[in-house]
Amino acid sequence: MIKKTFSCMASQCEVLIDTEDPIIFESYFSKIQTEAYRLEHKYSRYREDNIVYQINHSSGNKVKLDDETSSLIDFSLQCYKMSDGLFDITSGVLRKIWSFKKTDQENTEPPDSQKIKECLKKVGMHRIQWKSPYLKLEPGMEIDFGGIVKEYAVDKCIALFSKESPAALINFGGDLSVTKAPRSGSWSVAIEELFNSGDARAHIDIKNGAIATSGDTYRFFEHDKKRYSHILNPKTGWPVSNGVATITVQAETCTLAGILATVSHLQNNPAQFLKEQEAQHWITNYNRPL
Amino acid sequence: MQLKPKTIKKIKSSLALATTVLLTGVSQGHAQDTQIADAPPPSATKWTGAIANLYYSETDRVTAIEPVINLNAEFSGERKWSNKLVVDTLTGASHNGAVMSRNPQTFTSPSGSSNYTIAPGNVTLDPTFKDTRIALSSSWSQPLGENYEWSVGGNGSKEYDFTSLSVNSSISKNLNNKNTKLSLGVSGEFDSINPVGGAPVGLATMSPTKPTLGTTESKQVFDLLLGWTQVMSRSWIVQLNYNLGHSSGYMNDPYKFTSEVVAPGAGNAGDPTGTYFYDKRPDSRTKHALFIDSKYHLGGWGIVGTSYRYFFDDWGVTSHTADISYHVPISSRWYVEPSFRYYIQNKADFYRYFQVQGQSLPQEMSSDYRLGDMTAMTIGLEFGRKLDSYGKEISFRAQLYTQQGDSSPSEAYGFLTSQDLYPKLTAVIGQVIYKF
Repeated sequence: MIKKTFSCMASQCEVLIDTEDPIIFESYFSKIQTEAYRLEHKYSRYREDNIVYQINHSSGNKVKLDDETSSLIDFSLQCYKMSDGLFDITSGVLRKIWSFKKTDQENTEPPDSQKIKECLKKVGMHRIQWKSPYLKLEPGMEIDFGGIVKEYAVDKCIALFSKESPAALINFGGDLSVTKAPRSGSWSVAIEELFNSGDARAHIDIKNGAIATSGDTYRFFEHDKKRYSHILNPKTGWPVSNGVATITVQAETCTLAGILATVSHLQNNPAQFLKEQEAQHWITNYNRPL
Repeated sequence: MQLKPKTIKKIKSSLALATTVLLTGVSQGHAQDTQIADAPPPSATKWTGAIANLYYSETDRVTAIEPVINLNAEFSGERKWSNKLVVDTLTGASHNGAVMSRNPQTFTSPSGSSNYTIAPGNVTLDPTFKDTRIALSSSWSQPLGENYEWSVGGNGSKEYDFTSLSVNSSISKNLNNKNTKLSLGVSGEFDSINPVGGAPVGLATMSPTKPTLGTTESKQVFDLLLGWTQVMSRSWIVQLNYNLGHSSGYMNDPYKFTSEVVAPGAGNAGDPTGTYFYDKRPDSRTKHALFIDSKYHLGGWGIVGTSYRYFFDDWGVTSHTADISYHVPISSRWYVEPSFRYYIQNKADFYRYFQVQGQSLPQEMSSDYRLGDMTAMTIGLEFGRKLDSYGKEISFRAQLYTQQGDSSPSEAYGFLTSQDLYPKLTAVIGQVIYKF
């Protein structure tokens, strides 16, 4: 088993391949790195030389998208509809009016409701004009793929392996997927969030499929003695206060697991929601003092 | 604002479907976007090749510089077109076949227009040796049906006194799930030899006005190759080849000769008489070679390669070659490969160290050191660095070659016993190879 890591998408990216041959490992590893850097470059909101910048600075003009970005818009639109608007890639502008720090001492007052109302006018997939491959946003609107690009990257890298390839595990900052079971039988994955919460089941054994986690144990907003996650509801403009810190979901692909985790996080009862979806999940709460 | 529905919709399966469309739809329709160099759209041609330069230098003898360019294209349907261009520039001096002597010896150069003298104690080398050779080869291979592959190719080479043209073709069959490969190949070569000064009549004596056969001679070579490659296990592959070759036509080396030496009994027995006989070989040669090669993969510990070749022909030459190499990756990018080769050869029936004055001339006679009794060893070290994971790499190879024979064979007598009748040859070889 050979393991190597690299930094990408503001995360520690880890690749494990069930082989002893460094040449074989290296050939897959460099393809994975290339693909991860490609997607980071293409969909980062911090760059000024990619399609995301073009879209977000189009001032209400239409932008022609490439095939891959068109597919992501199609996909995001479907998720928006299926989640009744809870998954919304135009909700990124809300982060400008909220700030979430690591410790509660640094938290400030929430933004006033007028500010939120103004901002919400620039949020909503129903406001975009999309006729593939042309996308038109209202001025002031922004697209942010940050909610799915990591999971999508994991799935694209998994696709680099074929049936005959050695077994592999790709983990981009906690969003991970495996190609098949390794020679030892299964992959033993430690869920850090569960570990931190003291849960005895800190390890899970997976043979195939993917895991994605939504939420953050350490980043939250405290107001009126209530803790709010940093995940914002695109319809209310407010973070959820269901007391859930992190949700880890297992599904066939990382993208699917990620969408389910995000959507469930915004539910009043995430556990019940995921049970209805028949998705394997693990939840940690803010109840315990950190 | 919409009212949230009371019941929780089951959305997982439709989300799963949407992600499938996203992940598979994009990767099929957009191979160009993914920039993963070795997964191009099926119609693209993959170009690979190599540029190399070899430096070969024998101590006090021949020096050669040989740049090589390889350019290969792989088209869809596993059709391959391979090309190679080699330029050889040789300078220096080559052993002319004469024995060494305690007295100076003068030889006529091949053109007949000049002489050169070898001082006593020096190896008899012809210093007028200088040549440039260009060789171009091209071949095409493609599958034939499900289990067969065929290829056809041609080579051409030209140097000052030698032109060669050849064609070859082969067919191979894959069996046992591609674990076995059988192949059959044939080739035909036509050479035209224009020795400097004309081709001397074999066994004629050296002089500026040597009798010649004519200015252009020719030679034909036919080869048959039978091959069997077998994957023995996931780590081990073995290859067995049999090669049958037949050459006919002008087989002599026009620049080599045999020394006539004073017969035993005389006061200066063993000294050269000043007469030299030109090289004369049979006008045909049938060669057989049996070759076995094994490569064993030690996982992360590298690859061990061993091979053995047994050769014999109708000139009486037999030889054995044993080779071992060990390719070791020393990091994810660097590798090192030490190698060792041992060669032993038994002389041709008509190989002579010298001709005794007064004795009748044999039908064929040659003192070309390459047809004599000899052993040779090559020790080499190669190290290389992979520049990417798609085959681009640069490597450096250094080798030391030593060849020796019987310096004092039993035939020696008189002053011949104090001469080295098979001077040792040492060469260093350096090579740089860039593969892309």
